[in-house]
Amino acid sequence: MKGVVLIALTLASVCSAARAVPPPKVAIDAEQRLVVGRLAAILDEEAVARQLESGLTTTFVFRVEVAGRVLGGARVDVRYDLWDEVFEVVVVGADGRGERVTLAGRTALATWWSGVEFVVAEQRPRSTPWPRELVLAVEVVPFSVSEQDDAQRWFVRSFGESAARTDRQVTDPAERRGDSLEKVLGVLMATSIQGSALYSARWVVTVAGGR
Amino acid sequence: MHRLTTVVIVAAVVTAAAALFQAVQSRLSDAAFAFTVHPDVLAQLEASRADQRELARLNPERHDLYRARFDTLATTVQRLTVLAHARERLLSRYNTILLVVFAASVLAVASAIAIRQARLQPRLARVRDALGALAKGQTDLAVGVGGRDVVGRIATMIEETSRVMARDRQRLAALQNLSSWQEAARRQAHEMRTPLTGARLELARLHDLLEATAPGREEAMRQAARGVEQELERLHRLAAEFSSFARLPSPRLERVDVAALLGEFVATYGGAWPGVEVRLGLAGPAWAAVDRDMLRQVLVNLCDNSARAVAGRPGTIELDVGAVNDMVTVKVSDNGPGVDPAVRDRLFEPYATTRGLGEGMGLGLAISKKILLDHGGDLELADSSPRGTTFRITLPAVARETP
Repeated sequence: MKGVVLIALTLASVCSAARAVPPPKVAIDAEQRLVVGRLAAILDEEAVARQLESGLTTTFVFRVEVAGRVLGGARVDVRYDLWDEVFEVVVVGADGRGERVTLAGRTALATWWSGVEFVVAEQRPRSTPWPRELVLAVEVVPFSVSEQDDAQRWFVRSFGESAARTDRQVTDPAERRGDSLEKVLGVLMATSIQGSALYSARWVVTVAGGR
Repeated sequence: MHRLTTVVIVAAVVTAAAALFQAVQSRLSDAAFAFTVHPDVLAQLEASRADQRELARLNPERHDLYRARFDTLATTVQRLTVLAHARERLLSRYNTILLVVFAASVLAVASAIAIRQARLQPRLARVRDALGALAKGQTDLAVGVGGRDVVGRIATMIEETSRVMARDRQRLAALQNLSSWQEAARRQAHEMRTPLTGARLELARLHDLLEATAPGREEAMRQAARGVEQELERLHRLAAEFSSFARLPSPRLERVDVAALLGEFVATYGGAWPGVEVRLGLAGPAWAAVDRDMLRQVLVNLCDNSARAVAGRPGTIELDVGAVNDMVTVKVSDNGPGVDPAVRDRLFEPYATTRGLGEGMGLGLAISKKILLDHGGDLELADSSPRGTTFRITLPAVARETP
C-alpha cells in the first residue's frame, strides 16, 4: 500500500514537472547513441534566466535513467563574461568530447540553445537495444565547484580578518587560541557553502527512433 | 522522586532557554546576513562594476586599472552571490554551531554541578556524622574533609570545637579529681583527728590523775583509760573501713532466692533505723548467684543512706524484687527528699557525699557498686525526685534451686 502511494506521488510529481516545461527530445542518432535536443524551455525558466548573467558558471547536468539505473549523462556550462558581454558555453557529452562556443548575447544563446544536441549515452551493444521510454533528468546548478571553493576560501579568510587586520605581533596565547577558533569556525561555516539546484526536472520521454 | 522532579524542571528550563536563545539569535543572524548580501549592496557593486567598464572605454590609457577594478568587483559580487545562494545552509550551520556550543556549555555546567554534588555528598555526610558524634559528646574528632570551601571550613570548626571540648573535659576531670582528693584528705584528716584529740585529752587527764592523790582517783584513771581505748577503737574502725574499700574480697557466690533473702533482711534489720519502716514490696521468687553477706552489706548501706535522708520525719524504705529477662532486679525506694543534684553525677565515686565532716567517709555507695559489679550486676540510681529516691540493683539470674 505504501509502495503504491509512493509510486502515485512520484508519477504526480513527474506529470506536474512535465506540464510545467515541455520535455526535451531524446533520440537515437546514426551511431546508435542517445542524443538530447530541444532544450529551449529550460533556459526560459525564471530562476535559470535570472542566473545566467550573474557572471557565475551555470551548469546544466543531464542524466538519462531507466528503472533507477543511470544510462549516461552530459553537462553544459554557461558563463557570462561580464567584461566582453558574451556567453562562453562548454558542452561535455557522454562521448567525452567537449565543445566550446562563444555567443554574443542572450539572443544568440537562445538560438544556439534551441538547436543544440549532444550525446547523453554512448552506443550500446546490439543485444541490448535502447528502451522505448526512459527518464531524462536535468539539474541546474548556479555555480561551479571552483567558484564554490573560491567563495569558501574567501569566507574563511574573512573570518580571520579581525586578527589579520592589525599588523601587531600576537603574543597572548589566549588570543592565538582565539585565532585558531576563528579558523575552525570559519571552516565549519564555509563547508556549508554548497550549490544546490536552482531548477530541476524529470521527464518520462519516448525515445525517437527506438524500438 | 524529588530528584526526578528537579531533573525534569531543570531540563524544561534548559530547553526553554535553548529555544529562546535559538529564536533570538536566529533572528539576529538572519538580519546580520541579510545586510551582507542585501540586494541594494549587490546592485551598488554591480553598478560600480559597470562604471569601471565604462571608464575603461572612455579612458583607454587606464584600461588595465579599470579592468582590474572591474574584475575585483565582479569577483566580490560573484562571491556574495554564491553566499546568497547558500544562505539557508549557512544560517542553518551557524545556528547549529551556536546551538551545539550552547548545549555543550549547558552540559559542561551541568556536569560540573553534578561532579561537585557527587563530591559534596560524602563530605556532607562526614560533616553530619561528625556533628552527630559531637552532639553525643565525642571529642577529638577528625572529620577528614579537606578543602577551603564552606564544608571544609565547617569541618575544621567541628574539629576545633571537639578539641576544645576534649581539653575542657580533661581540665574539668583533673579539677574534679583534685577536688575529690582534697575532700578525701580533709575527711580522712578530720576522722583521724577526732579520736586522736579525744585520746590525747584522756591521756592528759590520766597523767594528771597519776600525780594526784584525790579520792576516787583509781576510778577516774580507769574511765580515762576506757576513753583512750574507745578513741583507739574508732581509729581502728576507720582503718578497717579503708581496708575494706581497698581490699574488697571476691564474692563467694551461691544460688540464692533473692526474695527470700530480702524477707530475712527485713525481719532482721527492720527495726535497725528508728522512725523508719523497712518493708518488703513486690517479691516473687528470683534466683541469683550472690554472696549473701555482701548483698546484705549493700542493702545495709542503701538503707542507712535512706534512713539518713528521711531523718527527722516518718520514713519508709521499700524493697521490691523482680526478674526481667535474665536479670534479677531489686529496687530500694525511700520517701526522702531525693539525691542532691550536686553529687548525682559522681554519686558512686569514693568520698562523694553531702554529709558533713565527721558523718562518714562517703565510701558506702562506691563499695556497694564495686560489690555488685563483682557479681556481674550493677547498682544504679533509678529515680530521684523530691518525693523520694530509688536505687536499682541488678544481678544475673540463675535457674531456681531444685530441692
